Formats: sequence, C-alpha cells, structure tokens
Amino acid sequence: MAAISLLAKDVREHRMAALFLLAGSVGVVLLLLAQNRAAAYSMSSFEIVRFALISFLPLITLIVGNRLIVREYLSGTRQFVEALPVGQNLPLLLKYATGLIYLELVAIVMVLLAAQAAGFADDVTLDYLLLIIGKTAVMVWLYWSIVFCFSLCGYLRLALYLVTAAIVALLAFYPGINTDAVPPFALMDDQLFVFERDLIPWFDLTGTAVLAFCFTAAGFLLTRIGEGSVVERLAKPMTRRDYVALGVLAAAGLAVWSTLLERNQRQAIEFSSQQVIRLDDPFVSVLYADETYRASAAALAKRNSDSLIALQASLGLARIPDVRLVLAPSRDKHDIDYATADGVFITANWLEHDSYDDAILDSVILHGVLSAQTGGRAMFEPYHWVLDGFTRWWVEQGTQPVRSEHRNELTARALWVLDTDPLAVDLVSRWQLTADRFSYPSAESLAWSVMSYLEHTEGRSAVLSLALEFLTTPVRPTVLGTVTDRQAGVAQRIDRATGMSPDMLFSGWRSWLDNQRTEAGIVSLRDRIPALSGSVTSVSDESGVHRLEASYTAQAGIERPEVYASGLNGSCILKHDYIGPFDTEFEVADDYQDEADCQVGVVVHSIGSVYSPGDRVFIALDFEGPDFHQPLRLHAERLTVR
Amino acid sequence: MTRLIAKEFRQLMPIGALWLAVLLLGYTMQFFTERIDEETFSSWCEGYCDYAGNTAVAFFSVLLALVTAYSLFPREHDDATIDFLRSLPVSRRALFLSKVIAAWLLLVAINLLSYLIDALLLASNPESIGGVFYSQVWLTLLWRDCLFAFIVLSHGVFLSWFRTLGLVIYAVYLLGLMWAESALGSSGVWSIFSLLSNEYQGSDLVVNSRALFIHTIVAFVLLVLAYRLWDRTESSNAGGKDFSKASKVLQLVLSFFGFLVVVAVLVNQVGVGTGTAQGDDQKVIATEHYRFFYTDSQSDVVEYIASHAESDLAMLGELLNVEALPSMRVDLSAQSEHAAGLAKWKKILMDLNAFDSDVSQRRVLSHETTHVMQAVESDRAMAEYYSATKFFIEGMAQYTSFEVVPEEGRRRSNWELASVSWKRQRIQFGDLINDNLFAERFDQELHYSLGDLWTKAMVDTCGVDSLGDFIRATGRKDAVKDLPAGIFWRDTTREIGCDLDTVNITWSAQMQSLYDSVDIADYPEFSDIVISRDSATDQISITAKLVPATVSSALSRTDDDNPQPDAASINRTAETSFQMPDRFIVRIGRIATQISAGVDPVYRGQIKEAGEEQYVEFLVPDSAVSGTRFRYQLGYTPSVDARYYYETWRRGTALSAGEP
Amino acid sequence: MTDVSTPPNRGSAATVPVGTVLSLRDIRKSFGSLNVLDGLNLAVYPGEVFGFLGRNGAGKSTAIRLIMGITRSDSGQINVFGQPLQDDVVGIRQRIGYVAQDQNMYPWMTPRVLARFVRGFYPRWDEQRYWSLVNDFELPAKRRIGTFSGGMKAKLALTVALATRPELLILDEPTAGMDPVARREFLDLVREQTQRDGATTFFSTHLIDEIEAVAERIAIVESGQTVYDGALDPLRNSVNRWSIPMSLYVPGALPGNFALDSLRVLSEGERQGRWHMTLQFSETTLATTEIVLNDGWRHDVMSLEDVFIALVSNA
Repeated sequence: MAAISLLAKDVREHRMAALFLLAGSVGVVLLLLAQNRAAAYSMSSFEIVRFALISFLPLITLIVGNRLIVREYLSGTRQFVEALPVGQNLPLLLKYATGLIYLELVAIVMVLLAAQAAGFADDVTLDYLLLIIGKTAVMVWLYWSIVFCFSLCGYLRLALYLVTAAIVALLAFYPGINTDAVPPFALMDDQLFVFERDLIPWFDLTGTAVLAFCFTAAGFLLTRIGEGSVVERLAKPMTRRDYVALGVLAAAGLAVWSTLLERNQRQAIEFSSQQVIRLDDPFVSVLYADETYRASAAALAKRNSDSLIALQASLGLARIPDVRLVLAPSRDKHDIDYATADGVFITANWLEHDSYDDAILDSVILHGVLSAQTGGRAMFEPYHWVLDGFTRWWVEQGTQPVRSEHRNELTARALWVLDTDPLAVDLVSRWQLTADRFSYPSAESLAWSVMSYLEHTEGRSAVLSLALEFLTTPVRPTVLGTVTDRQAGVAQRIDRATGMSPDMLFSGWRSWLDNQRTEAGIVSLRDRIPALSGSVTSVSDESGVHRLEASYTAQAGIERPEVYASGLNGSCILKHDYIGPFDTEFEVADDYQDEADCQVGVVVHSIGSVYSPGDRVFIALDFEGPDFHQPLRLHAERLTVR
Repeated sequence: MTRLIAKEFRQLMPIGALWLAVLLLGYTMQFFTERIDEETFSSWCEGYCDYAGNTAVAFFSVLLALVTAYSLFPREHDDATIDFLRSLPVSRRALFLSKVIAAWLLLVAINLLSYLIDALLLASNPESIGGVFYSQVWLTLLWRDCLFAFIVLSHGVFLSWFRTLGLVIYAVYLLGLMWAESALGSSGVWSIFSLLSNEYQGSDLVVNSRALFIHTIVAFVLLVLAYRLWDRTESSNAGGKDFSKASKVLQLVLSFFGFLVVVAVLVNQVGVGTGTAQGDDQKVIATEHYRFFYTDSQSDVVEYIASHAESDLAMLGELLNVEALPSMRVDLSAQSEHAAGLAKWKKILMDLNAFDSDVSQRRVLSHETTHVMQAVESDRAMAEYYSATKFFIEGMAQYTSFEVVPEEGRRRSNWELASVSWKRQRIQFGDLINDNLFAERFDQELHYSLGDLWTKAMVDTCGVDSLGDFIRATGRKDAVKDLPAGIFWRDTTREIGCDLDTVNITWSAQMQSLYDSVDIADYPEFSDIVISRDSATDQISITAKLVPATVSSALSRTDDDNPQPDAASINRTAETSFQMPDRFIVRIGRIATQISAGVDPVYRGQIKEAGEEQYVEFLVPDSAVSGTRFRYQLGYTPSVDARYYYETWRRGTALSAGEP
Repeated sequence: MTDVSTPPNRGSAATVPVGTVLSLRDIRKSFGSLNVLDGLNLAVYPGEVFGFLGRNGAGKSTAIRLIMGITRSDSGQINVFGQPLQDDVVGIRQRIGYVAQDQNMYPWMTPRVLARFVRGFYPRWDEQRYWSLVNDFELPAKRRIGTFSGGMKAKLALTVALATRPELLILDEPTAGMDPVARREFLDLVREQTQRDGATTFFSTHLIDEIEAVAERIAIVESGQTVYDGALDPLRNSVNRWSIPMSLYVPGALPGNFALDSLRVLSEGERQGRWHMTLQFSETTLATTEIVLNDGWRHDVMSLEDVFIALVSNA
C-alpha cells in the first residue's frame, strides 16, 4: 500500500512534465523522420532512432533524473519521506523503477514510430524490430543507471557528468583507440546498429548491460554506506575543500589516462619491389623501378652514403635517419618532392641531372637529415639560413674541393642578389624576406657563400662548429621553449660558435665577395643575368574580365632595351598562385605559370579569368635560361586583385 | 548602477570561472604542444577566420551566451531575492539593465582575454615573414564576436522567461533554419550563423553588415520584450500563484504552439510518398544472396538484373577472392538525385531511373555489391580511413563493375575525361589520398574515373589478387589505427607486397599515354569570365568565352619524351578550331555557415551569341551566394553522352552594381 | 442594523488628507482570481507609530509591497510624503527603511559586503550607526547571511533599515519566528530608535500585544478592507461588552438606554449561562451620552485582543 501511495505521489508531481517530455520527443522524432526521408543519403528510418539515442535521449534522461531523484535528495523533502513508516530502500527502488520504465517507454515509442514510418524496402520483420528494441532498451538502461548513480552524488554530479563526457569524447576521438572493443560504442556503431540484422551482438549487449548494472549497484551502495550519511553529506553545498579534492581527482585521472594511451607500434615502411638498391649504416635505399636506371641509382646511393658517413664523423651525429629515394621518370628535372615518412623520403627524377643538379638533390637530402636532428623544426627557426647554407656547403665542398663552375654560378647568383637588394647582407634578420623575394635557390647561394667565406677565413672547423651550434640539438616543441630559445639570440650563438660577431662576419664576407666580382668565370655568368625588372598590375577591361598583366623594363644603362631583351637566351615565366589573407612563408610552385619570350615595354603575360577582386595572389616573374640551373626571380609581389 | 553591476558580476562568478577554465584548458594544451614560430603563425585562427568559418565554434559561442543569460533572472526569482532588490531605491529598468550589462561584460571579457592571448602569441614572433600582425582582422573578429555575444545573450534573456520551454523554442528556431536551408536553398539573413561568415577583401575581413544590423535590431526588441515580461513577474513567494493567469495561459499556448509548428512542418513533409505497407504494386524477388524490393512498374528491368545477379556476384567473389559471399537487401524503389546507388553494410539502395539502359543498372548493382564486400571483408577498416581511401573504394568498385559488366563506350569516355583533368589540372597521387583537399580543388566525381584508372595500374603492377589482399590487409588484427594517409598507404601496400611507388609510376605512364590519345579539340577552355549581379532579377550572371586549349598555358614547360624545344616555338601554337560542347554547367560552393547537410548546387548554362562570337551564360540565383564572395566550378560535356568535365574551382566576386 | 461606526475616513474622500506621511486611497489588488485588497484606505501622520493589524492573509504584506512599489496595485491612489508614489518611486524609497516579512537577502553576502552594497543607494546612510547596531545585536560581521538564523536575519534587516536614517520605517511582521526575549528586545529597540530619529513607524503585525506596546494609532484590515482606522484608546472605548445571566435576559433587551441608531451590535450569544452582547459606539455618541446600565447587566473588561477579534470576525 505504501508503495502505491509513494508511486501516486511521484506520478502526480511529475505528470505534466512527463507528458510534455514525451510529446516533445515524439514531435522531434516525427520531424527528424520526415527530414530523414527527404535527405539524400538516408537508407532507413531506424537511423533516426540511433541519432535520437546519442543526441537528445541522454538529455531527457538527465531531466527525468533531476526531477525524480535530485529534487528529492537535494531539497528538504527527503527527511519527510524518511520519516514515513516504510522500508529504507523502497522509495529509492520505486523511483529507480519509475524512471527506468518511463524512459524505456519513450525509447520504444520512438522505435515503433520509426518502424511505422519505415518504407517497404526496410523489410521490417518482427525479429528485426525486436533486435532494434533490444539494443535501444539496453542503451537506455545504461543512460538511466549512470544518471541514477550520479544524481545521488549531490553537488558532485555536475563534475561527474563533465568527466564522463570527457572520457566519452576521448574514447571516440583520440587516435589509436579501437572503439569497437568497448561495448557501448560498438553497440551504437553507425552502420551495424541499423543494418546488421543476421548476427546479434551478444558481447556488446551483455557488456553494456553489465556496465549499467554496475552503475545501478553503485547508486544503491552509495545510499547504504553509513546509513545514507554519504548521500546526506553530498547533498550539502560543496565547501572549497571539496572543489580542491575534485580538481586533484580529475587531474590525476587525466594523467593516468594519457599514460595508458601509448601509440601502438608499427614497422617502418619499406620498398617491397626487387628493383631497389639498399646500403646500410647509414641506411640509404633507392627504388629505380626499371633495370636501365640501375646504374644511376647505384651511383646516387653510393655518393650520398659516403657523404652521410663523413658528416656523421665530422659532426658526431648520434643517429642518421633512414633515407629513401624513389625515381619517378615522368617528373620534371627540378620537381623534387620531399616528405618525412619514417625518416627522409624523396621522390625525384635524376636521370638528366648534371653535377650541379645532383648537388641540388644531395642538399635536399642533407636538409632532411639535418632537420630531423632538430625534430623537424629548424626550417621554422630564424637560423634557417644556417641549415640551408651548411647543407649546400657540405655537398659542394664538405668532402672534396668545390667545382669551379658550381662556385661561379653560386657566387654570381649571390652577387646579383646583393646588387639588387643591398639589405640582404644582414642574413640574421633579412634572410627569410630575401628567400621570399628571390626564391630559395638565390637565398641558398647567399648562405652558401657565407659558409665558404667562413671556411676561407677561420677554416673548416669554424663551419662545422657553426653547424654543431645550431643543427644538432633537438628544439623544445613548447611555447616556453621558444621564448627561452629567443633569449640566446642568433647573434650571440654565432659569436660563440665562430668567434666573430655577425656584423664582422657579414662585412668581411661582403668585401671578400666583392673581390671575386672581377673573376672571369663570374663576370661572364653575371653578364648573362638579364638586367630586367618586372611589374604586375591587376586590371579589368570594359567587359568586366579581370586580368593580371605583367611587363618588364630594362634597368638604367641599357641603350636599346628592345634589342637587348630579344637577344636574351631564355624565357620569362610568370608564376602565380592564390594565397590566403595572411602573409606566411610561401614558395610558389610551377603549377600555374605563363611562359613567353622576354620583351620590354609591352604586356608580356596576361592571366585572365583566374582571379577575381578581393583575392590575394603571390606573383613571381622568373627568368629561365641555359646558363643558370635554377630560375632567377626578377620580381615577386603579393597582389590584391582589384 | 555600477554597484548593481558589481554585485551582478559577483553573482556571475561561478559561470565566469567555468568559461575561464574552458578557455585556459585550450591554451594550456596549445602552450605545451606548439612552438610559436612560422608554422604556428600561419595557422593562427585556422577553422575560425578562414573562408569556411567553423560552425562548431559558432555553436560553442551560442551555448556560452545562452547559459550565461539563463543564469541571470530565473535564479533571482526562484530565491525571491528579487524582492530585496526591488525594495531598494533603484528603478526597475536599472535592475534589468545592470544584469544584462554585467552578463555582456563577462562575455566580452572572455572574448577579450582569448584575443589578447592570441595577439601576444602572434606579436612575439618578430623574425617571421608575417611579422606584420593583422590588426584589422583581429579587431573585426573581436567586435563581431562581442556583438554576436550580445545578440545571443538577448535571445537567452528573453527565452529564460519561458524556462525550459525557451530551449524548445530555440530548437524549433534552429530546425526552422535547417528546413529553410534544405527547402528554400538558404536561410538568408535570418540564421544567426550567417553573422559569422567570413569574407576577405585582400587581407581585410569583411563582415555581413546587413545581417548584423537586422539581428541587432531584433536583439534590442527582444530585450525590451524581456524587460516587460520579467518586470511583470512576481517573485516566487509573492502573494498568490507565481504566474498571473494571463501568463499561465500564454505559456500553455506557446507550448501548444511549439508543438503545432512541429506537426505542421511534418504534415507537409510526411505527405511525400510513403509506401509503408506492402502495396499491391510492390514486389520482392529473392535469389540466393539477394532480396530485391521493387515496384511493379520496374519489373522488366528488375527481372533482367535479378537473372544476372548471382553470376555477377560469383565473378566479383573471384576477382576479390571472397569465399563467404554476403547476403544483401536491395531497395530498387528509391529515388535519389544525388547518387545512382548507395551501400551501407549489407543494404543497397539503387535509383533505377539514374541510367536508362538495363546493362548500366546491372553494373551499378555490382558496383554497390563491391562496396558491401569491401565493408564486410575489411570489417569496415577501410571506411575508417575514408578520406585517404575514398578514391580507391570508388575506383575499385568502378573497375570490378566494368570488368563484370563491360560498358566500353562509357568507361572509355570516363577515362579520357579523367586523363585530361589529370594532365591539365596536374592531379597527383598525393591529391587523391586527401578527400577534403581534393574536393576543394578538383571535381569530386573524378574519384570514380581516376580511381578506376589507378586500380587498373595496381592490377597491372601487382596482379588482380592485390585488390582483395588490400581490403583484408586494412582490416587485419595488428593493423595500426589512425595513421596519416601517406603512411597508411605505404604500410598497407608493403603488407601485401605491392610497391606503391611502382604502381604510381605505372599509373602516371598509363595516364600520359591515355592523354596523348585524346583529341584535345574536344576539350576547350573557359576564358574572359565576367561576373555581374543583376539586382532586378536577383540573379548573378557568369559569362565566359570558350577558347581552344593552348598547349603551353597550363602545362609545365617540357615533356620528357620530346626533346628540349627552344622556348619560342611552342609558345602559342594551338589548334584554332574546337567543337562547341552541347551542355554547360556551373557548380557553386555551398554556403559555409549553413547547418543542414547538403550538396553543392549546380545550374545549367546557355550558349548566347554576341556579334559573331559565341559565349556561355550561367544564371545563378542570389540565394545560392551569401555576401559577395563565392566559389564556383565551370564545366561542360566534351561529347554527347559523356559526363561533365569540370575545370578547377575558382573564386568569384559578385559585386552589386553600385559597389566599386 | 445600521452600520454607524464607519471610521471617519472610509468611503470616497477624494481629497488627500493634509499632512500625512503615507495615505492609501481605495486600493484594489488581485492575484488571478483571488482579490487580496478590495478598497483599502489608510492614513499615517508624521512622527507616530502606526500599527497595521490584521489576520494572516488579510492583505497586510501585499499592501506593504504596494507601498514599497515592489508590486503594482490594480487601482487606487498611494501617496507617500505627500506626493503620488509613481512620480518618484526611487526618491521616495530613499527615505523609507523597510524590514520585510521573510528576509531574502543574498545568502552569499556577509554583513560587511551587504553594507558596502546597500550604502550606495541611500544618500543618508550612516555607517557608524550600522556598525554600532551590528555590535549591539552581536551579529557576526564576517559570516555569510545564508548561515544566519531567522531572528539574526530580522535584526540585520532592521539594522540596515535604521542605518539609512529613514523618515518612514516600515516593518512587516519583523518578529515572526522570534522567541519572546528577542521580540521584546527588538520592540524596545524600535521604540528607542524611532524616538531618537523622530521617524514615523508603520508596524504591521498580527500580534496584538506588540501593537499595544508600540503603536499609538492603528488600522485593522480584514479581507482587504479597513475595518478600523484611528487612535488606540477611542477604539478600546468604543467597543464594550456587557453580560446578563440567562435567567434575567429578555430577548431584544439592551444593556442600557442607548439609541439604536448610535450603536452596532458586533456579537451576542450565550456563554456559560450568561448572555453576552458586544456593542460598538460611534465616536460622537461616546463623547455625548452617559452610559446608564439597566439592572442585571454587568460590564466585562475587554482586552484589545477581544476588541480586535470582535471587530474582525464581524467585518
């Protein structure tokens, strides 16, 4: 009799809310079913049941838990109920049962609605329906038991819900966790829940049921400890001490959790084809895919292996990352694709390379090897020029004296850059901007010539000590690491490594470079550098077509510019690409380009209908001729299209 | 007044502490995992200030403002402390305003703090090329966020009078937006998320000022209404019932009205053909592994498909070395203008009027069956790497279905189109294995034909067994989860002993030879594109001329097989004539801030004459574009029955007539 | 039975009685279907301690909430300090000290924080007085109000009200839930403080002895109407009770030779063998006629409580 009166009281108290919640969820489910039918990729109305289960059903459970249990325990009415002549557990048991039955009712109504709305092709047979109802019922039981247990924890419940949500999010999204092994997640699988009809997921069902039972037991246990004193205690507002205890608990939980999640291991990737040359210690492997290319692949592997062995000796590097090279015959000669998959991974086409092109390829490989020493961060640091300069220096003259034609081309290019932009001499703060304006090959030539000057004045050991200072210690990947690194500025570190301050170094280098200006080889190369400068304008003609027009002008001192321009041996190329609103380091590829003969005083390039007003475009005007292996950037600009 | 605001602040302390904790959690994680260098700088407000804008962040700021609003008034009335306030010599308006201002200042403080930390991080990187700190973008984002917080706060203050019913009303509002977006194409200015759409004029952020203006007005109106409502409300222990009779009736009507709106939206939707019971014209044919559900009118096509179903299935099983063939249910009565067929686990959905010839329908069935086999054999591991394997999932299904049900003509034209796209738009394997980036630059349909060709290259390199082995390799027990795309491909191909790089070398060689066999004249290029907005008819017109494909314009300078030509000769030699394609199409990038799922809308183009020159005009409705910037992709059919050839995505600006 | 003893200012006196601190004219207020105040009239004069007597639910708290402007009346005219309430609600409230029936001050505030908060609203705030009262009442300055007992909250509320040096002090059943000792201490304090400031006190309660101890003029309200509004003594005199043994009682007889039109029979009935009659005389008849008792009738002493019960139960 007492049970009935208790039940009646709960029913009367929550009748309106229960009706409203049921009507609300039925309404939302009906709406979702209608939308699901119109949706393009919907296949079954039961997908809505799954969506409801993971979206608003937990919310409804929270509301029911709040009304049935939290209100009773947090407000004073609990003393009134306890005073009633009824068993200690009966009221709580009744509330648990009422809540569970009501929620199962809501869930089953949803499933029946979906079944009623299912199309003929859903082939809704009785056992299929029972399977769906079973899965839904178990999930709802899990939700209700979690809410029941947490509702008894008084003011702690908010924190407990947050921790549970965090754990669910971690399980669902953290890479490396196989959620199919965790029962509730496997049960709610987005396709198996609806479309697996033949085999019943007994493991997942029982797993979820056990979990639900544990939470229920925990809830009831909580009320039994110290005859409900714990629940009493938790019902009181939390003191500051409780908050602190909670914070420590949560932090410890997270720490333990993250240590549990070590990434599962896998074998390093490896070529499985037969046409591969492999050298060990340091590991260098080259895939050449066709017997005719075997010889060049072998030479490449040998050359790099020797160079790396010498480098490891002279810099005392502990470990050299694996180097893997893939020959892609269809690629363009200078299109070198660099990736860091288990060490250095380079795809290139070296079949038509001469020694200068080989030096370019070798320095890219070395760039990868050395960058790996600093955890792959050196290229984002202000001393990026030391990395590029040293790699080119080592490839050119690390183990054998530099070839004169290489030296001439690099020095000519360096002198051209300094003549065009005298500010570029301050490599410490301007190198990045120089690379942006003149492209990396030219910036690299500057850095290389500084290393050569250093070798010329202080000897080879100074260059090696500079590399040791910057390129061998891993960089700390934290904000704190950046700030402390910046304390010891690049200038002091140069001074420490080479004994010379940057100003002394750069001024000495500048005069050393000027002396080479008159050398025969260099003069002939510098004459073939086109004395042209470019400019780009964004125009839109009367019919509304937006164009980028580029034209060239000869520098002062050229008498008959037209004749001079047409006499140039090589072509002028406009390279362009869309960049976002923010200026960051950008290397325009040759995906979008327009090649034409160099002319002066006339619009040479006209790119129409690619960009529209408001776009920010990076435009480079390069000159490519037979004398220089890599293009010379005459002009570079970031333009907003009008 | 300031004293009241101070007290309100003191009361908002717990909520403020919560938001502060969430904010600082994010920053501490960044603090310990990122260096503030060139790389971090370039991704400063990734996902928030870039073109698409981020609905997840929008939802969080809405939640932030609503929860803060809900903590302002209900508590005071329930604890009856409002009477103490009302007994103080201060006007009711001052009470109301002090609460709203205090809540808004809290939200502004949170925004300001997060933007200040960003500014500190960005300005601390002097050596970066981007040393310039984007103050315009930073400031615009800041004041827009504060205004957005105010707007949603006013919604919250108004809705908090209705307590939990208020949340239902907001849910109905959001559902209404989704319905408008799917039914009318766009919810226009009424969606609060359109306030957060980002548009750039060069480096400057342009805000959707019309929408902001309208929503601010609505916000003020709601605040006045909320003031009226809260002012008339007695505290909980005032004499008599809490709500006066009038407001009780109002609440009942509103909850009833909310319910009515939901049912009304349903009624016009539910009416759409729901064949629930097995009508007389609906039939089932069962074969050993299939159960076909279809309507009587399609019985001849279905009989043809059913007759071949088992034999085709057997061939597929052979191709992929699948011993236990799965049993499947096929719904042939579906209509979906988005896909000819769809497969989820062991259920297939096919739209029989997608193709008119029966043979094609039969091929679609084997295409979808391959998908089911892929899912079952790999225990859906391939689906977990969806972005990296989508081209291969679709490609393999195309390859096997064309092998089982040969349609040489269609396959050939798909291949040619794919080879031109591959060559002209320089598509590499690296692009294929990243589905989102691929969709951002190229035509997503290319995944089918390019995937088919890549699978062919794989079969030619490692034999046909490699297909089945690959599927099973992805689902193997010790397979590592969540690898980056490139490494996943190398790891899995190594597992089945088929060298990925060799496959890629064969693939690009085959593509090149296929491209050389294509008649370039069928594939002209669009140029002289003009975009203008015709505000009279509320349409945006995109006109473009067609020009023969100039060999050098988009190609890289040299090809390997021909020797190094001198620069002058190849400059402008191009075919002068080209066939004018018969059908033209433009695809407009979906509005980023829409919350309902959907596909990019497409619109037909017409050929127009101007003097002796021909040009193509596409008319796009204004509703497809929010603001002035949009993304579009032009396309045409190279031959009568071929698919559409799309050029790469372009950015357009539809300035209204007045704007410069 | 003619109703003769209507209090002088009942009815529709349109003009505002001059010199009142507070006057309510024909106030009506209803909550949904329940009409709480049905034509209430009041007038309070400067410097006096005005008792506002009525049973629970008679509408006392609602009337006070109307005076304070916490709720709005459906109709009727409220004048405070001689000017209509709506004209300058804020200004008026600055000169009123209000002690509500159940204190709902912010539980998280401490007396120190409460002072700092309230100080800003009252130009005449007197900090020393606030702290001296807090010490007098031994209220813990640093503990949260949420942890205070009912009595302590009431004392704190009074402290705040008095610290504003109000011209009008409104107390709405302040001593509800207090033990007799605390109540007496509270009333002494009210009397002492009001005399010091010369403030007018509007004391609403249902406890008669409190009124007798403190108030000079009272109003009795019942089911939303003013049953009596005037000084205490005339009230006590105007209502008398006589009794006669049943054996001598002749139905219809009156205790004395009064003219029927000058009195009102509040109640009559037989109790413990005697017939009791409670009569109410109008002020004029009291002043003029000499009461000559018929034989057999005996005059019973009536306490203010008896008078109150007789008046209220008869309204």
